[in-house]
Amino acid sequence: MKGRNAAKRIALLSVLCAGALCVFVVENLFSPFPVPGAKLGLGNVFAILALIWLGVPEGMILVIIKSVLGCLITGNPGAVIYSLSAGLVSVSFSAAMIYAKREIFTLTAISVGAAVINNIVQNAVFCLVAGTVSAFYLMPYLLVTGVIGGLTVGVTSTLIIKKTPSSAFFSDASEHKGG
Amino acid sequence: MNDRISRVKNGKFFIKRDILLYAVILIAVIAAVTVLILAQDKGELEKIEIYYDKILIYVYDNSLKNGIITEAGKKYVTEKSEGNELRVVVTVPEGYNVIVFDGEGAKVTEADCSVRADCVNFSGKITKSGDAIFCVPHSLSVVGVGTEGEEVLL
Repeated sequence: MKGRNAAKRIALLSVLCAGALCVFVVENLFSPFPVPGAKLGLGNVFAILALIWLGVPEGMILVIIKSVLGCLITGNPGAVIYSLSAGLVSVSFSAAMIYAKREIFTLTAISVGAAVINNIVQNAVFCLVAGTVSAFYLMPYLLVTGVIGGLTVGVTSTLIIKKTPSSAFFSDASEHKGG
Repeated sequence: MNDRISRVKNGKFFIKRDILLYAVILIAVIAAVTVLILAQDKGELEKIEIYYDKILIYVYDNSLKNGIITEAGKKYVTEKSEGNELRVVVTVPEGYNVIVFDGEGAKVTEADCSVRADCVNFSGKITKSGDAIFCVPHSLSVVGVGTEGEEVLL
C-alpha cells in the first residue's frame, strides 16, 4: 500500500512539474507587463499545489525543476541563478506560512508575499551578479507586478484546491491522516 | 483530509490579518519609490557605456557624438554610421545585440536573446545618466553615465 501511495505521489508531482514547465515556457513568449523581466509567474500555481497536496520537499523539487529545465528549454541558461535563488526563497516563505500551526494569512496573501519576495530576490541577485546598482530602478515596478502576479496565482490556487475533491488524489485513508 | 487542504477548502480569499502583510508590501513599495526618486541620478548624459560580463567594451561620448571600442571590446563590437545614427553591433558568444546611438541617447533595437527580447521591447531609451538597459541572457549592460561619475560598481 505504501508503495502504491509513493507511486501516486511521484505521478502527481510529475504532472505538476510538467504543468509548471509548460506555463513557464509559454509565459516566456509574451509579457502582460511592460517591465523588463516581469511575469505573472503562473507556474507558481503548481508550486503552491505541490506544497499543499504533497509537501515541502516536493514543492522545492518542483521549483528546482521549473527553474533549471525552464531556463534551459527557453535557451536562457544564464537566468537559472536568478530564477532558482528567487524561487527557493519564495517557496520557503510559502512553506513556512502554509505549514504554520494555525492560519496566519490566507493562501492569496501568502502568494502575494511570495511573489513580492521572489521579485526582490531576483532583482538583488541580478544587481550582485551584474555588478551594478542601476537595475534597482526596476524595484518599484517589480513590487507592483509582484502584487498583481501574486494575487492571480493565489486566487487561482485557492480556486483549484477548493474545487478539486481530495479523493481525486488521496483515496487511501492513511494518506488523509498523514499530511 | 490533511490540515493544509481543509484550511484552504474551508477558508476565505481574504481575512483581516492579511491587511498586515499587504501593509508591509505597501510600505516597501512606497520606500522603493521614495528611494528611486531621491537617489536616482537623472542628470545630463555625458557618456553611454556598454559592459559585457562586467567588462567595459564600448564608450560613447554623448557630447562629441562618437564612440570608442575598448581593447577588451575589439572582439565583440563593430560600429557603423547610418546618417545621424551610429549603429553598434555587439556579438558575444551568447548572441548579438544592436544598439543605436542617435545623438540624444541610445536604444537596443535588435537582439536574439529571447522571444520576448525585454532589452528591445520593454527597456526604453537611455536619455539621462542613471538610465540603463540590461540584456540578462547576454550578460550585457548599457548604462548612461553623467558628469557625477559612473553608476556601475566594478
